[in-house]
Amino acid sequence: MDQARHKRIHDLHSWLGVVCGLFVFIVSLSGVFSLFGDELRTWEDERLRIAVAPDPAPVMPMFSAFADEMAAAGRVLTLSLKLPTAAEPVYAGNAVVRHDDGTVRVIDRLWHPNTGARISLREKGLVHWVVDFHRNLMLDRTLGRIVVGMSGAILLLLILSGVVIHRKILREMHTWRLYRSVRLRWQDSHKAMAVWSLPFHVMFAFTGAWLGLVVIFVPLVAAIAFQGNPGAIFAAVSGEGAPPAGVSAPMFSIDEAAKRVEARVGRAPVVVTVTHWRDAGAVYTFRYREDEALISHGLAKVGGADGDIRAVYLVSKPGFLPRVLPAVTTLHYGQYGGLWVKFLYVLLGLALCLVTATGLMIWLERRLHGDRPRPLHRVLSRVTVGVCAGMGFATFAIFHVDRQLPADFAGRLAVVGSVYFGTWIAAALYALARRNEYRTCRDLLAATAVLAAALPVSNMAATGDGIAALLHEGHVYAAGVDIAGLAVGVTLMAAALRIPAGRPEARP
Amino acid sequence: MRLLAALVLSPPAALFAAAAALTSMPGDLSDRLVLSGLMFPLLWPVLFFFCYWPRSRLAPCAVLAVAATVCGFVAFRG
Repeated sequence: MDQARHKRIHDLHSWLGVVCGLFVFIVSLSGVFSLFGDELRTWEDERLRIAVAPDPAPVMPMFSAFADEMAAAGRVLTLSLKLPTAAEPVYAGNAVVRHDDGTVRVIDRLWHPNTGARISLREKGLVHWVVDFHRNLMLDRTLGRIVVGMSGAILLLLILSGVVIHRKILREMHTWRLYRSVRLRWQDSHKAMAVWSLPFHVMFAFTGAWLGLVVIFVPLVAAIAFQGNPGAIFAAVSGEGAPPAGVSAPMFSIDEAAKRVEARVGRAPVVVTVTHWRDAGAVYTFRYREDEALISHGLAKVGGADGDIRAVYLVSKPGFLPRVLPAVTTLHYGQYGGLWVKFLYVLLGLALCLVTATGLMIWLERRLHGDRPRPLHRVLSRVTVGVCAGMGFATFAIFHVDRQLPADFAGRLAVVGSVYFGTWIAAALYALARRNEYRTCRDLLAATAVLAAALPVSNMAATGDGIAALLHEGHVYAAGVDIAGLAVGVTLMAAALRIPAGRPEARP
Repeated sequence: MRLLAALVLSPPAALFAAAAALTSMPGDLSDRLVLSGLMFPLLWPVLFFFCYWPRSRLAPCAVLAVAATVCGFVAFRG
């Protein structure tokens, strides 16, 4: 490659990293937390810490009443029921209803798995924030997904330009000069981490870009190729569902249908979606976990009126392409292979954060300690440290805030959001005022470590449940969050203590 | 000029190329939709990157404009 072209691509990589690096960092770090949305539920809401009896209460009486109530309220667009799992041990009904005045409402309902008693809904808080901040940055759902999807496209571009400008990739994989100049240390860390985790980062970027940009792709392609009819696209992908028979019929028991599906596939179903409720053509579509395929769920279709299993399948038709779409989400969120895959994703996600942060630091280091340092570069350096180190601090802060708010607190999400952004901004302002990026980073990491390690204390203060008690009662996910908090706290504190108080000089 | 081409021309070129693939490729419609849907987030960064590849500053503009026009024509006709 000629020098001029190399310089152009290098400049593209540098400037794109400088302009969009923090954005990619924010999406990546929020993605690390969002991996555990399901696992956080019993930690967030102690009323869900339920040991499900071997023979739980039948759900059909409660769900029938719920479905009839929804059908009376308007046109039911979707109707589904989550069955109890270890991460969410309750029956959770969900309906989307279009009322006569055109308004669309989402209605949720929870029932105790052992008694069938209704459990009051808790306002959205920590889990909703952690998951949705990664999915849409808490913006409008469509706009937010597009913005987050663009971070995936930007990351793909950064990876492509980075691979092209680094022509000695194999050598750079094994070069890590930690005791030379600061710039070399950042450079080697940036390149080595980027190259070692390259395949996974490409996958994160591509699947993330697809998940976000499909929101604009579908309507735009519909406008171009389907005369503005997005319904034609959905019908092409999902196939036309069977119409209702138009004859009312009593519904077969969902409990019995779930047992039939479990006997057939060897796994307990986790969700059932109901179409054409109280119609002779009603269908129950059960989803069950499929850990051995790169698809999060298998499907079993059961007649809603007669309880006959009509079909059991992983994808709607054979071939490679029909497996691709279900695999995208599964791949992006590590929903295959169990918790260990998620832990691997945590490491890879953190590596991506470090690659982004070190990339920014390389650019700033060159300017701060080059021929013409400018005050703006110093400010950028401090803001970068404040934003990067402050984001983890803000995230762990909302764990504590959400945990300490009463269960029936109104306006929980607003408080969680205010604390999140307030803490984050405070960290950035602290970094600006501190005037020493190394000490700022050390202080913020240490503060984050304390917040993370204090999660068990916060949980115990609010609920009275310690780690030992949680493990004894079988609430492994709630205990797991406490243990993970401790582990993260110890690791971060060890890292913070290794950060020097100032810019180290290169060893001869 | 390159940045302009990258910011302004690469998104429609990627979109029209994906739409053209959807309407003109052989095979089942749902399969084509999957393929073109996967193409879009890949094509966009690749075309953006392409703007910085040729020596001539005008080449990316010309190539992307022609690609967008041809693909758009194919997509609308299909």
